[in-house]
Amino acid sequence: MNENELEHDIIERYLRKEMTPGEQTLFEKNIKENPNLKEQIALYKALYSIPENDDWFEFNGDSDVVKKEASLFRSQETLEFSERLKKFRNTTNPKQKKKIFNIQLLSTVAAVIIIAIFIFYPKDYDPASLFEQYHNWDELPSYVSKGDSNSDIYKELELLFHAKEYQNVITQANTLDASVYEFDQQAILFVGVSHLELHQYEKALKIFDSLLQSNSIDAHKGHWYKVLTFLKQGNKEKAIQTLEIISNNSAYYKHNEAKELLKKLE
Amino acid sequence: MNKTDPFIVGFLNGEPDTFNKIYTESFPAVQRYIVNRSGSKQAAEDIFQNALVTLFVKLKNDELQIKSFNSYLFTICKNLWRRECSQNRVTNLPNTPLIDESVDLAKFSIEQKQWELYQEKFKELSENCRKLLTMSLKKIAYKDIVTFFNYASETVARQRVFKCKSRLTKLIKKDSRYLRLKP
Repeated sequence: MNENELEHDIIERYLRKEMTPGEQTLFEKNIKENPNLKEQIALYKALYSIPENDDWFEFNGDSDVVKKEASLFRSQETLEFSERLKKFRNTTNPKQKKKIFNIQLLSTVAAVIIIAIFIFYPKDYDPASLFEQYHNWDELPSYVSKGDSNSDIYKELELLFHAKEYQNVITQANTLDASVYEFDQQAILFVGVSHLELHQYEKALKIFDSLLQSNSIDAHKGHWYKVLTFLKQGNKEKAIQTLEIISNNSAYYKHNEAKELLKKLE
Repeated sequence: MNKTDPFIVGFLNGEPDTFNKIYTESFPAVQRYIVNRSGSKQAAEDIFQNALVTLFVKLKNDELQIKSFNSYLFTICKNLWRRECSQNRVTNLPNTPLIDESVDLAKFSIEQKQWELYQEKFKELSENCRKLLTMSLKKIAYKDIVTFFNYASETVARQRVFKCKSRLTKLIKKDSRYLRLKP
């Protein structure tokens, strides 16, 4: 093990809290005395923010850089923008409005706003934007957190998926035992969504249909993922048809979101 | 999308109809994200407003090219929320003048730029390095990494992580946008 490797190993153990209290005290003393080590630790710590987890880092570097950036946030144009934003929030937030207007005036203003919105800005929700709003791949079930004895290949599917290597997810899934894979709702979702992300909509829909036809307790989730596929595809009509299925059954996955989305699309 | 895009122009000019479109199209997803992670509706509103101010400053002052306004805004909101959670802070923007928030938001803006640099450099690594580092950065135990990659021992796994991480830090430090950090 060379010197750099040894340093890496020590930093890793420190950040993963694997040191004994004695080792930690000694190491923290070294950090104080060594600016390069200090910087290396800060960067290693910041790298933990790369995957989607709860870690974040704090910039406490060059104060001139902070001052320069802060001057942009204090500039007249930023303050004016912020004021416009606050004004907009206050006029659209009912709680704030109550403080300013009486009920009668409030009703008048609200009516005028509603009429103006309908006359001048007819709502035209773009399916692609709705897809951006409503999809959340973080909600896909995880193998890693389950801690069971699922084979590593399934965990790898998840890792590939979160690294956005969608083609590799599909390739990897093709190597799986079909009889097992077809009954694995998690794997089906990772593969289906990968096709969706690669704009292979027909393949994605076929996979979500297979989930719907399965005996899985979560088979109904297939409807929601079909909705997301139709939205990304720009197929508003099919999205509405599928949303109606979800909104007609309160036990179905994303029932409330489906009702909300349906209102926007219709 | 760049600064000449009519939607961006409307946003930078603070036009109410653009704000309305942004709040209607983007806020529900942000609110769901934050509420699902134990945040309040008020916190979601504050995060959203801070993200919009940050985005305004970035668009005005940086050479920023974004593919989708909504997706980029959502990423900023997610990172602001991760920051809030990791520092266990309390957001209370509406009662606090922006002037007091400027240093804090400036710091976040710098952190966001550095995070984007890390992401960019991470994508330049080999597929194998990305997989290995994702596991390591998710703090998955080395014994599990050994099993997953079928390595001979934990020592081998640590060596591989070291090599990939060194490659990544070298790429980051070589970039002129890299700013030294202090813990």
